[in-house]
Amino acid sequence: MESGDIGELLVKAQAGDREAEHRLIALVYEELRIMAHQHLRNEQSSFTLSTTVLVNEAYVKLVDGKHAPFRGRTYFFGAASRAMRQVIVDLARMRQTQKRGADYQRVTVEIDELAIDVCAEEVLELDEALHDLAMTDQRLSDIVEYRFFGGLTEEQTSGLIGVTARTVRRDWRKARAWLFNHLHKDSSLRTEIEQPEV
Amino acid sequence: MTSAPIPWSEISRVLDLVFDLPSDQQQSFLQQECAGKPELLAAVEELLAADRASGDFLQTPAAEKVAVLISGTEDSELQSITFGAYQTTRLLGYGGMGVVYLANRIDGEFDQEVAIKCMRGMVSNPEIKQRFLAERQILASLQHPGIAHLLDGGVSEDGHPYFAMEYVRGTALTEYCDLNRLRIKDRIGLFLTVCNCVSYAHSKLVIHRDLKPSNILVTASKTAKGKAQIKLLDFGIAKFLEDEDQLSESQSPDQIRSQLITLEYTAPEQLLRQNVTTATDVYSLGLLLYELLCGQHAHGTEGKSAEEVREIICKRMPVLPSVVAKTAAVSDPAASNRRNKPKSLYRRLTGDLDAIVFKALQKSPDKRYQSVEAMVGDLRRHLELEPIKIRDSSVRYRLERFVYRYRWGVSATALILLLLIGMTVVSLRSNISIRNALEATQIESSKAREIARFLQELFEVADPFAQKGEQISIEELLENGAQRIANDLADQPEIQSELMFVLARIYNSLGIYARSSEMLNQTLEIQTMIFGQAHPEIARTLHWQSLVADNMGEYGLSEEKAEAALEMRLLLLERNDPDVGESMDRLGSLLAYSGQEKRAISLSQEASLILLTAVGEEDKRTQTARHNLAWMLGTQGSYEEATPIFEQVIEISSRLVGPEHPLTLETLNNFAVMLRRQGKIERAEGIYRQVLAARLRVLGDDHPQVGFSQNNLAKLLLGKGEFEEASVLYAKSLSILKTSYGDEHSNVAISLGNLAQVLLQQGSIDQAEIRYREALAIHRKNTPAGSLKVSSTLKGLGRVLTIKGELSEAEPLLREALTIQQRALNPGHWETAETQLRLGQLLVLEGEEREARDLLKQSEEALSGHFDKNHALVKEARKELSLITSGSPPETNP
Repeated sequence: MESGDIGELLVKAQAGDREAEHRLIALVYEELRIMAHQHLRNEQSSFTLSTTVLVNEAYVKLVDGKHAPFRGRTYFFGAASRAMRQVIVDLARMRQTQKRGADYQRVTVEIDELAIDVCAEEVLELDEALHDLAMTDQRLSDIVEYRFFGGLTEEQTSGLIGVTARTVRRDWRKARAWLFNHLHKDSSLRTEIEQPEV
Repeated sequence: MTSAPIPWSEISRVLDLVFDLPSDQQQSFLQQECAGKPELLAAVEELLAADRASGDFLQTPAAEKVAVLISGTEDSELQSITFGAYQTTRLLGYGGMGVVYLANRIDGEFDQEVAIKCMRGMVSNPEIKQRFLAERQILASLQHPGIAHLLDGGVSEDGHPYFAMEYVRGTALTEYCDLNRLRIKDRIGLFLTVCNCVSYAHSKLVIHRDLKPSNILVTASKTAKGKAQIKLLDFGIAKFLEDEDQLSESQSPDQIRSQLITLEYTAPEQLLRQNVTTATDVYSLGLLLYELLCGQHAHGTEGKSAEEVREIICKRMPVLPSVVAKTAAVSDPAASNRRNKPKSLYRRLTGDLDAIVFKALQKSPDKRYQSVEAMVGDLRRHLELEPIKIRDSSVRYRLERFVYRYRWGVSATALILLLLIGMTVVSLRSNISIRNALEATQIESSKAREIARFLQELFEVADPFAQKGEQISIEELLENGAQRIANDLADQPEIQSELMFVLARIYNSLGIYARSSEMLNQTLEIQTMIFGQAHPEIARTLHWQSLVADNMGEYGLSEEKAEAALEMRLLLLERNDPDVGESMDRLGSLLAYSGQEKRAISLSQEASLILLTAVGEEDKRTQTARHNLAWMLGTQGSYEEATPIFEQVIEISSRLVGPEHPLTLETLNNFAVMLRRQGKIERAEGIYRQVLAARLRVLGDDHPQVGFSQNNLAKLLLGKGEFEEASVLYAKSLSILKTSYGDEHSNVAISLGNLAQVLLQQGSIDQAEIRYREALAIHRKNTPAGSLKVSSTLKGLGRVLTIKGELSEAEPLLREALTIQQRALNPGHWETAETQLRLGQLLVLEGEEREARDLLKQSEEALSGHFDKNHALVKEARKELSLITSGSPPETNP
């Protein structure tokens, strides 16, 4: 698969070319992955990391900001949100498969291993639930992707989907309720894990 | 458990309203809103509770998760995901259906790059997983150099099914062809390779379901022969998307979610969730071929909503590739990419290739090629036929030119069809029979192979490049064929009758009607032997006997056969069967000419209705029937009714086969004839000129159809008084018609008469006399005495002779004319009146004043009743009348 000029991919993807969209997301994914790692390697504290920043940086890096039209930028952020979701999901999966691998070695004393596992599991469950939500109401799922994974603002999201900010706000609330409900259906199990014995 | 699930839209709506309310008002609102719907209430309350309990769920940024997850790793390298024996290195693609990674084997044994396709979702459903695992076996069994091999598959640690396949680097087929500017021939070659792969898979009972350019790659590595290597991806994977779709509780159960599958390449039955068969792949291949041929997607779906796209895919047939090749916006780059020019690209694509694509893209699966092989067969035959040359003889020469320009349709007997679309010998009256001659054969594919084989042998025997410099004529070739059919196939009557039928049609197209009729009779005999008295195939033979009889001018017989065919079809088929419609149309158009107008129109109307419902407005038969109906209505004088039908038929024809296709032009011509009679001269003239120009351009300046157009236009111009142009056109038309029909055909006579009229107007009396005499001689030979055609020639000659003073010869002619007209036409008809005028003028000169006055009076009355008072004839009649009412000076016009 050749990586075409990103600007061109962006234009094509916006016009509805599915293949271009897929390639675009793959490219962004790679970029985000690398950037996320770099960020965390270079800075000791994780508090300065935000997906919004990542996405913005990716945009600047990949697209010539001067030439892309405004709408193109918004579209890019939408694609980047999708990519971000996959980055996170993949990280979680890697974590899970590693756990069961034989050669894994850790030299981490301070970090709470369990918390990381829990995080991984949560992410994967969320991803599944989101997929199910998309079957019921695509727009709600999209909003979660953009707002949560991509870190986009209400305004950016409303611009991307084409609804008012108020609708975005309302839908976000509905989506959260739906997902929360979906994930906590077997609440007894949940409670157990959330309160580990110290 | 509740019986019916509550639609999400309901719950969502109520939630929206509740969210806006303060918590103390929520309960009462809900009681009201959900009164009588306890399930709705429960669902909403559940979500409300979740909303309250959700706390900071999803409120902390996702980035934190990233941080947490990454912090658990030490390695400086980026991690990879494990799928069975493979480890990912990179993300290749991401889409609604899943994710694709590039991966290597963990143990490093094989240095092979692998693509891992991992499905999203589907974790929860055990049924899908089962099916997946079973399917994997089948897919892995596909071993073909042209198909990306499935190496492995399974379920990942976290429950996601995945496929591991050969990783293919390449360019999409369509792009490859454009980059290398491949000609049509080469593109078809590559396409055939693709078909072979698909065919192989079908033999293993695997349907691809998602064939599209991005799934068909041309790889960089070349085989030893230096040909590009083609690889097909993703066989059968689309099936899982459809399965998942079906099992999910989606909101709109009868619509495929456009997220998962690219709509543009989806077949109608997939959209409608009907059975997917090998014909579905045929459809996709059709789309691919379309793009390869003309550079555009068959359905222009850019910027359209999902609803609109559905509509287009399920209901609208695409524009033919050849027509696209000509359309300005696309043509130049498209043609250049095929090393061609727009016009010649159009000619290259028109005919066979158009028809093949058209058949593959039929909406209904059973109307397409039933197997990929069938389509391959037609394409191969097309490629092979290209270089065949037929030489010499005027018939063959005209054949070659005509055939080259307007091939139409390829069936299993493609060889025959080359000859089939030969010269069409058309009489002015039956504009309709051109259509019949251009109809494609409808031979079942099961017999087709045998027939094709037989014909191949035939053709080899009759080698056009035979020794001794002898050229085999087409007739000899056909005779050979007829002999062999009679002798060698005596023990296979079904095939024998089929082949005879085909030969009969060839003879018909070549204008050798006697032979055609013979063959049809033989066919009928055999069929009666096989099938008994009544059978659809017998009905078809009868139908064709009617057509041939028509061409021979045996109108009585033609009608008989058409009636018989209709009767049989009504007996055997449902009344709304398209064949019944076809027969009704045929009989109707015949009856229109034998004076049974009422019945004719009613048949024609019913035929149009049946065909419209049964096969749609874009089918050739429907077009024919509606054309005939419009023609009949127009002849009757119902212009208001006829015009919209004409316009519709023209629009559809232009869209489907192009505005310069003979069928479109013919319809335009007939429309113009009607318009002229209606009095809409300007519009009629415009169309006549348009048609003439098109025919000149496409057919050359010696084709009979050009002759007709010139004739029609000339007649119109004559009526406008533009003699110069009219006589030039008439002369040209005459010379063409003479060449085509010989000197003795009634078309020629008509044209002569028209020419004579112009000459007379211009004052060339002697010339006019010569023409009239010629015309009369022909008419006397061909037409029964007492026919109207003769009468107008008689009138013309009579008039000329009167002017020259040869009264004794003129008088009997005029009297004869008058008798005929008085018998055949309504009283007061202007033609009769004109003859009365001429005869009157003659009698004045002979001194027979009393009779003359009578006639002139009648004539003046009738003419004034019909024409405007400034019309030449009216003025002439009045002048004569006033002269004879002795002495009074000519009236000055009021």
